[in-house]
Amino acid sequence: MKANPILKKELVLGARSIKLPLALLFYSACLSVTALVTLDGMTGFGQVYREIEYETLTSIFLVLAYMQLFMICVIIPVLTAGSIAGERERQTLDIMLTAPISPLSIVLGKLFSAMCNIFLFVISSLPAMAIAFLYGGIRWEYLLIFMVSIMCIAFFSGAIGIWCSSIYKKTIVSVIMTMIVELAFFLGTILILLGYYYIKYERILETGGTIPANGIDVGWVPAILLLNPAVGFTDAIYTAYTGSSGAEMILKNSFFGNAASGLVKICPWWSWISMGVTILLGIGFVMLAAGRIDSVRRREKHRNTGHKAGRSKKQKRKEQDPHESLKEIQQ
Amino acid sequence: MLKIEHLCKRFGSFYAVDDLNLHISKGEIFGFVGHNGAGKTTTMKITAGLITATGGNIYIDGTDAFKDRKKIKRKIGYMPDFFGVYDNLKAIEYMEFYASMYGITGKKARETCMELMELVNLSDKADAYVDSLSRGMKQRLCLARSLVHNPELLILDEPASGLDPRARFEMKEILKNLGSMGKTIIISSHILPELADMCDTIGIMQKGKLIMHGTVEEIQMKALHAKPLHVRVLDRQEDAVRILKEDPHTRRVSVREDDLVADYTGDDMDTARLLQRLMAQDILIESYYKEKGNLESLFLELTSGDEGGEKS
Repeated sequence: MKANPILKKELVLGARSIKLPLALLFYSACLSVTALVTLDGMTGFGQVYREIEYETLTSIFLVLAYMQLFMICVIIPVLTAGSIAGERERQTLDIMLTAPISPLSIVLGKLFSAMCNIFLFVISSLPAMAIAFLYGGIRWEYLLIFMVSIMCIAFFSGAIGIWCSSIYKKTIVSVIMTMIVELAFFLGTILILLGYYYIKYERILETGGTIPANGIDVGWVPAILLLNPAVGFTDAIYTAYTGSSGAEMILKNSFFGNAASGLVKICPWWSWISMGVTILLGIGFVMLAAGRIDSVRRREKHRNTGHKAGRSKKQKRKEQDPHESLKEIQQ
Repeated sequence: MLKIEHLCKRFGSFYAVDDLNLHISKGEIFGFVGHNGAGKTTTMKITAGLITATGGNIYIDGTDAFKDRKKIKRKIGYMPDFFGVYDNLKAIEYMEFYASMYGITGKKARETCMELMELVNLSDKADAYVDSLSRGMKQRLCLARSLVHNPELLILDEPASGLDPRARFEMKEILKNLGSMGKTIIISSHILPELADMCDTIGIMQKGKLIMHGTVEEIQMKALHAKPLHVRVLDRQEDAVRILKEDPHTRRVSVREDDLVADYTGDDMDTARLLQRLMAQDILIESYYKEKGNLESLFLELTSGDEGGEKS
């Protein structure tokens, strides 16, 4: 199997750049400081009250896991959002597109190189994460689940970054748009759900009804949270920690009450379903990005087939005979 | 090798390429000349498969360029007018990266790339970072890159732009060398005389149209006939201008200092008759002479007027 040339080139360029080691240093430093501050806070409490609940010390792992989730969601747009836009700015994309390499290979090469870098970040976080292992109570499986979940999210966010990069010509615009789309998934889904709940709540009050003790019935609408990779991440980590479903905990403890009972049935598999949805969305963004780069082929298809919708016979005739358009303009 | 039929490219009401027809034979070096916005780059980009045409057809070695794009990509080597490089890649790595895109890897890629770098006189710069190369060297490297898959048709968009005279000369020699190797080459430039040195045929584009196409000899013959005629009269300059304008071989008359300069297409006999008419009107002629026609003056004459291809 031949290596993707774009991936190979990106890895060489990344390895030679000073930016990567500096970013790694910053990432590891942030995590180490967070781990030490958290540890100090917890043990400091013990020094004052002469007692330490060792169970709470395991939460260092959680703090570091969420810290990494946040940092990766910030880093990945920077790594990917300039990938296609950067090639455009450098005017190297045209040269690439004259070679017999598919736009999908270009997009995947860029995406996997970003994921390799993210993997490097995650690996570099292991010494900081090891602090959580000092006091026991953390199993190696947690680390594995964390790494798989975070790589899924990296794939998803990276795909968004590359899609934005294929749309916007300027890297900075692309970075900002990637963060906005990410926020739409991470916060937007929650806001939609809250908005829906609020509307239902208001309607009940308007009609003189009473709010049920076990919460308002919002049906399957909370399923929108399956689009939110952070909820999937929480479910995976919480389930590993406690043995009970994290998604079920969120649904029951939020003000949806027990009303989302239908959805609770799928909670044991929430993280797997969420991971699948995340990957599918990522694939969707990758395909969209490849389609945007391959604009020539797309337009050519339209040209040859007369396109499907919204084209009159006159328009099709014009495309087949350029002189038709010429005549019209000359008139 | 390359056949372009009724090619059109329209951006709104602007015609970048307007009903272009062109035929370039195998092994021919074709020069595309025209002002900025004449449609050269658009035609080249359409041929290279980077943008779509509004209408028309392109056949490369008998293959429909719009339908069998994958096959065409292996036949074409494209060098854009502006191109960037990757700062942290060495020249040989830059070449190998593009070779790998054509499926050429390992030892074969290294050998091919070294041969090409030797062809463009860059073999001693193989381990230098691309960013450290001069503009001329980068242009030559980009040319070598476009040859990495041994294409039959080379499309070079202003390969000598921004180069100093020496680098221009070196580039010209390399292109001549490639021509002698049997490659079909399309080169664009703003400068007609520059292309005349190395091209077999030349096409002049203006407002998206090919306004002149022929061998270099044919174009040069036309240039020789486009000789400006300088006439210096001692009195009645206005009458002299009127008589010059009345002559059917005069296209335009202008006054430069004491000279009347006419774009005159007539031969020596026509010139003699014109002078005779001036003298018959008792206009005193102090002197006259014909400028030697050249490609530059022909190009300027042909492409005079507004640039662009807007139609109302």
